[in-house]
Amino acid sequence: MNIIEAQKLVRYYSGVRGVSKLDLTVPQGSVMGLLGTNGSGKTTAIKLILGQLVPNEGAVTLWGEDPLDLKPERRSRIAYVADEVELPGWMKLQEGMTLYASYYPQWDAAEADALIKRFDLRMDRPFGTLSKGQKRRFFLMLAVAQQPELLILDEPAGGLDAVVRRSFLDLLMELRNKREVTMLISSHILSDVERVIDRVAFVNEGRTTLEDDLDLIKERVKRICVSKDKDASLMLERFSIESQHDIAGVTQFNVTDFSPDKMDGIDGTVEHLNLEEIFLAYNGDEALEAGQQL
Amino acid sequence: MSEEFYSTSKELERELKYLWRTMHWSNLPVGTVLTLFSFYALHWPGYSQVFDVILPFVYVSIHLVILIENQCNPERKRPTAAFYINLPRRPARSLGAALVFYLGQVFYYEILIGIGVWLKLGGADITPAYRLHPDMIVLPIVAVLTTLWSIRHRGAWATRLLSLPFTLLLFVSLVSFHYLGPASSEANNFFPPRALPLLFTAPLAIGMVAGLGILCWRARNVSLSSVGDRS
Repeated sequence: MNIIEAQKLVRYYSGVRGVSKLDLTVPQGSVMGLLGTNGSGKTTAIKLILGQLVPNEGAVTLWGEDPLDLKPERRSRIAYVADEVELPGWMKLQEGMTLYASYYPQWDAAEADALIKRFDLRMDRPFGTLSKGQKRRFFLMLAVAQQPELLILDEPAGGLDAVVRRSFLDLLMELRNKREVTMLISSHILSDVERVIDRVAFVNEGRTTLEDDLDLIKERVKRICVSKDKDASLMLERFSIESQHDIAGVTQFNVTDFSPDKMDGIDGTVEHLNLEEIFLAYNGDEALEAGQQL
Repeated sequence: MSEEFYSTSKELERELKYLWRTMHWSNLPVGTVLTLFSFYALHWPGYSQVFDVILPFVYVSIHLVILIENQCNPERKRPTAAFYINLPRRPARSLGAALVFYLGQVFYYEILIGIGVWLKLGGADITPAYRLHPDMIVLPIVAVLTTLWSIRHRGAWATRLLSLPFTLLLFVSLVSFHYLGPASSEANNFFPPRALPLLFTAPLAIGMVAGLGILCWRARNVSLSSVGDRS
């Protein structure tokens, strides 16, 4: 069963397209990474999924329902941590937590206490006195303690120091392995999410450029280095080449349909790519051309 | 358990607690003190205080509009919307609770004004005030309903847009009260003379309307991309 299904979503901002024909499918129990450069449309896509924005074209469903029509019973199973979230500056964290918890029948007070200790939160402090990282930790604690079935995180590691970021990623791994929480994680720091996700969608200029299981993508997308012209010609014949670069007499091909059978007769080395390299193989040139920041 | 948790009474109770918790603790005491203080704000010794009794109603209206903007409009503002809009709430019940909460406060402040008039704070006299300006009694109610309606439907833009004719109406009312009202006599409890010339009040009114117009235009882009906006 798919928890999230988005088809050909389009949303304009003052006449400019925020997302353009965006497709997304998040099966139950999967951890989907929504990855793209800054300004590629990730946050807009999340807001459309949650019903915070209404698409100009296309359709999105959560558990098969229009997100604008979700009943509170269903919405209480969704936890969302936005990139930028605020509460009244005078409100103490304890008060904010009490307010939040009152809306969730499945609120787990013991888990909240454990996370407060884990994230080193001082609950008697007013919200307005917290740093960005502390605010982020507070909202992550709220999101996890509400016991969600669907956890949506927009740039979750932003503003966190290295120690807390590691602790947070460990927490996500626990949620994935023990509770089978479905997650949608948007990020442009790919090394962070690679440990956690099992599905990936690349978003570029508001459009989904690739969506599949991460393992399958890693099997398909490889870098092959050849030094002879004959091998380079065979490469062009047999593989779908996403990009190629000549470095010191060696031609590097980023291929998206790798299969060991196709390497017969080609004298080359096959390199496995990490998520960031795969992302660059698909989007690097376009992103650089657009002058976007990776 | 879930059915009980989402029953109408539980949801309304939760929404009322939500409004109570997101209201700063000082709001009610400050509102109480300033409402009583407003009896003295335009105190002209030697003259009738009919005019003074209008000011508490105007102050209460402004106080409640600001409170509603602070409590309910964050649902439409980007950083705070992320928190508030995703809470599992039913919009109709949230609105119902907000009506009870704010009209309850109107009731409280109107009683406070009644007590102030009864105590003749600032020399106020209830009879001529209510006879000359009964609209002032409903002003806070209209202000609350208008603000809630506009926030629900079009965000900050509508609040400011609607406040334009609202402000104009207020000024027309005040100007007509000053210049078209009966002359000062025993019959109207020695209503104060024409204290402010039109040359002063007209630019003030135009300046306020222009200021609201600028705010209205600047807020326009915000509301177009606001939460759940179907436009």
